[in-house]
Amino acid sequence: MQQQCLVYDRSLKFSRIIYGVIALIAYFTRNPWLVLVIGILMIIEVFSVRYNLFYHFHFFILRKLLKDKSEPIKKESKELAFTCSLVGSLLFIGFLFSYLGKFVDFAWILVLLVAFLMLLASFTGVCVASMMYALSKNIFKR
Amino acid sequence: MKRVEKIKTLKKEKIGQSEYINENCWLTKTLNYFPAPRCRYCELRFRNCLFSQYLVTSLILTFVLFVLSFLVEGKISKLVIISIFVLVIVYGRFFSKSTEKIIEANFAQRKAKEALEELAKGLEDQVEQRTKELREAYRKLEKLDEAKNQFLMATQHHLRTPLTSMRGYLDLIFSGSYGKISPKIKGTILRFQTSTSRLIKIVNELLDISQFQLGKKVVSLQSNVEIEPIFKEILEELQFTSQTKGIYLKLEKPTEKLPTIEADPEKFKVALSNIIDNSIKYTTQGGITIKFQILDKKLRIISQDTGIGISKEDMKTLFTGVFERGEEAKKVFTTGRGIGLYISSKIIEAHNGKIWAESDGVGKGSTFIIELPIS
Repeated sequence: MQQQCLVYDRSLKFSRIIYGVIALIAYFTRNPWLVLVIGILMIIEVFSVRYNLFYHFHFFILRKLLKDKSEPIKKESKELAFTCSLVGSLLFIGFLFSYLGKFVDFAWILVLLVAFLMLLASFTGVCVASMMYALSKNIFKR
Repeated sequence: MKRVEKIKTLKKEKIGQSEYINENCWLTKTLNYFPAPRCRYCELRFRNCLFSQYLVTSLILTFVLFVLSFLVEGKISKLVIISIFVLVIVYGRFFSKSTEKIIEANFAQRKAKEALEELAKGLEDQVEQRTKELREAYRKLEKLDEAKNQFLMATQHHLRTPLTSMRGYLDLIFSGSYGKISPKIKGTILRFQTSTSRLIKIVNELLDISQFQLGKKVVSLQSNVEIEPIFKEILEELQFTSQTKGIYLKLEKPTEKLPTIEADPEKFKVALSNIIDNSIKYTTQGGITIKFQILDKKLRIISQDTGIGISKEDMKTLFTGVFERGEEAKKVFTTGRGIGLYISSKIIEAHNGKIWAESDGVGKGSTFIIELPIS
């Protein structure tokens, strides 16, 4: 039995774009605290999409302003949790390395990579994390 | 998030519908939703998906740049890497949008084609059904027609018998077998005889029509039948009628001896009588001329009159089984039935001949032509 939820894809993508942009800003300004903030927000979202502020901002305000009439789509709750936890973990690792001063270059490259992949997912619909979730689901099913 | 649902499995929907899952693509099948709008119209496997190829390419590029970023130093190199990232994203966005439009358009075209095919099939089925129904109805009508003709034949036989005996008795009375009769009664009996003969003629004609329509053999052909004596008889019988009307009835004697034909003399006489009698009825001034023409192994008998003529519309139904007379004909001769020409045409056809009419129009006379093979 799969647990599913209805989400507005555009609102979710909007929140990912904001996170990606913040991550990019963090990379260019070499600010590890911004990275930590995004990491924490992603980790919180693991428990429910309800805790995504940018999602609600788009859903309640921007959707009405832009007169967006798109329908919600069904997504597995576990998939959302997986992607958020993966991104959050990577960002947290990046923060840790940059904060502790170990492998700093690697940490910032990691943050840049995560930002790029988040923006890629938002603009093109290709989510690497979702694909990894699908792969792992297939592997563990067997 | 709207609500949480526990759903067992998504039911299989058709391609294009809102909950369609492409069973051939492992990604959509595993995720249980279509990751991109175009996946709603896709039946391809994941490895055949254009977008998956883009994804693999961009991931490889990302990995390469990731590695390069460690190896290459300097801000410019970092800027180049970032620019490439941005380009990949922008390209992906446009690629995604354009492929979506193409796929949706293709799907719409496919749907329209399928709908047309279904409509055509539906129409074909309907046409087949209607044709079947029509054939059935036609068969029933044919049976009814045959039954009607059989009934008419039987009725006519029953009518003819008393009429014939009536005429017989009248002949006996007229001949004085039952004693002398006064001139006044003689006149009355004569009129009675004429009416009875006419009635017998009508019954015989109706009987002939029924037999024709049932496809029964009406004529018994004899070889080497001479035509001139038949014509002489007809002219003798009809001369009085034409003289009474003040019109001429003449036979243009042929220069050479007429050839013999294969014919049933009695029936052939009936056919010719009907045609000439018809001409007399519908001619008020001038007259009727009968001519002969010998063509290549065929004999043509031409009856030309100066009567009311035949319109183009009436020409179409002249020799058919539609017993309707033309409007002009009804004005001149109100009591006709319109069956004489039909019987004549059937008799001539039974003689392996052809009959047709020609006319320049109403008021311009008509010509009836009979063509028979020479024996």
